[in-house]
Amino acid sequence: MKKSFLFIAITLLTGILSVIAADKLLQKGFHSTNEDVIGKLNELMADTSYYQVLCLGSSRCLSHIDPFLIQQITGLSTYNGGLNGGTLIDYNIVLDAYLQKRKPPEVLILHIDFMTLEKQNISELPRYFPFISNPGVYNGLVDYEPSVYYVNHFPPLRVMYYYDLLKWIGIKSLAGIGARNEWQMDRGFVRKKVNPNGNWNSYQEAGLSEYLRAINRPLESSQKVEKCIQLFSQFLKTCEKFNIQLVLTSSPVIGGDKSPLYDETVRLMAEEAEPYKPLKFWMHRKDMDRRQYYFDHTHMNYQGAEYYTRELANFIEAEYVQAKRR
Amino acid sequence: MLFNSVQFLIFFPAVLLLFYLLPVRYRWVLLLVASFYFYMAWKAEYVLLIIASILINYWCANEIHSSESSSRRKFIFRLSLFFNLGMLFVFKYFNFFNDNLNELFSLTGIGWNSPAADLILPMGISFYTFQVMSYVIDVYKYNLKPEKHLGIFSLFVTFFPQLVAGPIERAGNLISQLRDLRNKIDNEAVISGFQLIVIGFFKKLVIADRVSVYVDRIFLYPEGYSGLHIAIAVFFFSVQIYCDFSGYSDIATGSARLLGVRLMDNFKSPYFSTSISEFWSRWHISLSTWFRDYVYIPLGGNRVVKWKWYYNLIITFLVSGFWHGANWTFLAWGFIHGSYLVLGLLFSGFNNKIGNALFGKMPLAGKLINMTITFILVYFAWIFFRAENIGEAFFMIDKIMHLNEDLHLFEIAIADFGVFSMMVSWFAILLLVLYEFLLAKEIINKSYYSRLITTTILTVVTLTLGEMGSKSFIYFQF
Repeated sequence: MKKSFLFIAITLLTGILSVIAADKLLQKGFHSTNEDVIGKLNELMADTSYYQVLCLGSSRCLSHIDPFLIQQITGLSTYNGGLNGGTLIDYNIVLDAYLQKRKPPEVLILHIDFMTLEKQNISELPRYFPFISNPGVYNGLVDYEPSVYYVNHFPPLRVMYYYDLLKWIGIKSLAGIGARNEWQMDRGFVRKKVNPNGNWNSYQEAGLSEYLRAINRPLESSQKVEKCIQLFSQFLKTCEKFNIQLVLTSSPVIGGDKSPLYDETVRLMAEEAEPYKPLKFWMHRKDMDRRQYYFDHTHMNYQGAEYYTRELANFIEAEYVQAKRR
Repeated sequence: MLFNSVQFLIFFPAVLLLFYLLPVRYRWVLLLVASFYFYMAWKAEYVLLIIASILINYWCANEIHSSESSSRRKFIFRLSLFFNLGMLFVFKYFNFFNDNLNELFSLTGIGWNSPAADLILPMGISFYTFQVMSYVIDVYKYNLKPEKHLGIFSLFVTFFPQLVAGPIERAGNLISQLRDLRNKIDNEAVISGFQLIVIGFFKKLVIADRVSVYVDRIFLYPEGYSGLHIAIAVFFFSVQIYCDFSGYSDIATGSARLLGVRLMDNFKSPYFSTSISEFWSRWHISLSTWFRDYVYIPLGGNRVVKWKWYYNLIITFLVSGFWHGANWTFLAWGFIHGSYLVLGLLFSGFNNKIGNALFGKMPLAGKLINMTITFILVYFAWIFFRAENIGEAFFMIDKIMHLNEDLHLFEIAIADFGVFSMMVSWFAILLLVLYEFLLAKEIINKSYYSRLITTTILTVVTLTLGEMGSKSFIYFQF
């Protein structure tokens, strides 16, 4: 039996050592990348630059709000903290991480959309694993996924949870290769290409009716909504504690102007936020030409983002900057 | 519980440790409790179905055995079949028949529409039902004496390594081993069991789960992609289904072996087959032998006139297709394989002549050509297996036939899937082909050190390139 135990021991030990080595290398790569996904969290966790305006939200926030344009119009330095697949769980974690090393922003733009009250899971959990030693990240995640607990106790285990894109980002960063243009962040903002030949292709057009059906329905599960509302209330408490001016906004998505899902989400969030005073709403819901302004069903291209950001910035300028001056 | 979850990585070593610490006479109790826990980790309430299946089939088998009247034996046997097939019908096939009936009514203008049943397909139902059916059939045919010990019989039905996706064991092989769980474990059993677990995880985590991302995307909306995308997606699906299912079987067989139980081999490098009939002797062996013994042979097998023989083959494969799922696509897949076999028999003389004339002096080249042709035939049948419906399968075949059109879309999909994923997928597939080739040539298992080196390499690759996303196994849905 000695031979067989030795066999297993050697195999497993080599495996564990290789995982530890891979983890060390990937960590090195992750902490020096500026590529979306990890780069955003890198900046939020490690960078200490102060911004007057912080934007939070999902991929729509990420690609619809241009921080440079807001700064140009309002004079307020701005950072886009939107995350692909971000949910209220993510927004709480990101806000907490941001506040750990910086003074609070003056204005916090929370971008809400048709998913805000329906997603109470973490879409891309492994992106947080490089930062699992941060207590804010760990505490914000541990209740949702058991793997967070395991990874915290044996960090190299995270190598097995990284999906290919993350591993590739780590490897590229180690090799000194930068991000592809479309994933290159600029103050957290990712520009979706305006492509005259159409990123808006036949694939997008064919899936449109299915997508429209999806957003033209009422909110689904009351349990999910309840959980999301709790998370939103936690978010509001943090804003209240630091006296942050909160702006709830949403950007146009195709068919969003007629979506009951959207209406219900906005109504419930407004109801919850009502007692919180430094609050402003600016909802832009009108339908826009999809071939000109959209990248896909739910994301605008840069042309659309520019149009929307300009209106949002004008609103902040009028309602916050000028009001403050008065 | 999934094999590819952290829970299993804690559960299994704990069971293994307790198993060897316990006296032999209590080991079956531990395995039974562990098996129920394993199943209940998915949906606790569905364990009631397994308990019902255990109790009814236990009673039926014993009644059949003790009954002297042949009519009573027949009655109880039919009762058992009615229960087992009825359970499958309700949970797996009711909605299929219901939908098709509604469709038929609407076509004929009859204004009647029966509602669909809102039922979840219990995990592994087709596997444990078939296992228990073979047991009752064997008892009925006097091939087997029924198990008197309810605990051991329950363990035969629920033995956790093979409960949810096989191999579908025969009572003759498994029950005798479960009755006597003495420490039969030796160096060879530990090493080969561990090797199997490692290769199983490699197939599942490094290959199957990785290529599934590409496959799912293309099959979800084939209209948006070029023929080349679809051709690659079908190739990846052929790899995925093999790695996913044989990976599961490897982990199951390896785990059982560490517990001193030898399960049957379920796969023997099927893509190295040189004919469709050889493919079926290497692919999902426990199911194909089940259909051979309980469907094909009772129909008359090949000991009948030729047309009946061909008919038997087609029927067996249609039933096998239908076993996989309640969809016309699975029936089509079964029909295609049945037809391949019939055509193979019809043209066997001609094939042999051509083969001898072309490759008589180059047997290796002939073997490679046959292997390639067999793979291509299996490849096309997989399109029907994976497609949403028959129309979509034909659409995809048409696109594959026009490979050079819409190539501009190719760049988009590769960029979406990711260069890294593509590179790792091909690297891992080549590594697997090499491993299986060396295994078939008996090079890997030649010495302790060659086994140690290959297993260590596979462990390192699995731990560093595998994805612990806990994606379910494809065959769980059957």
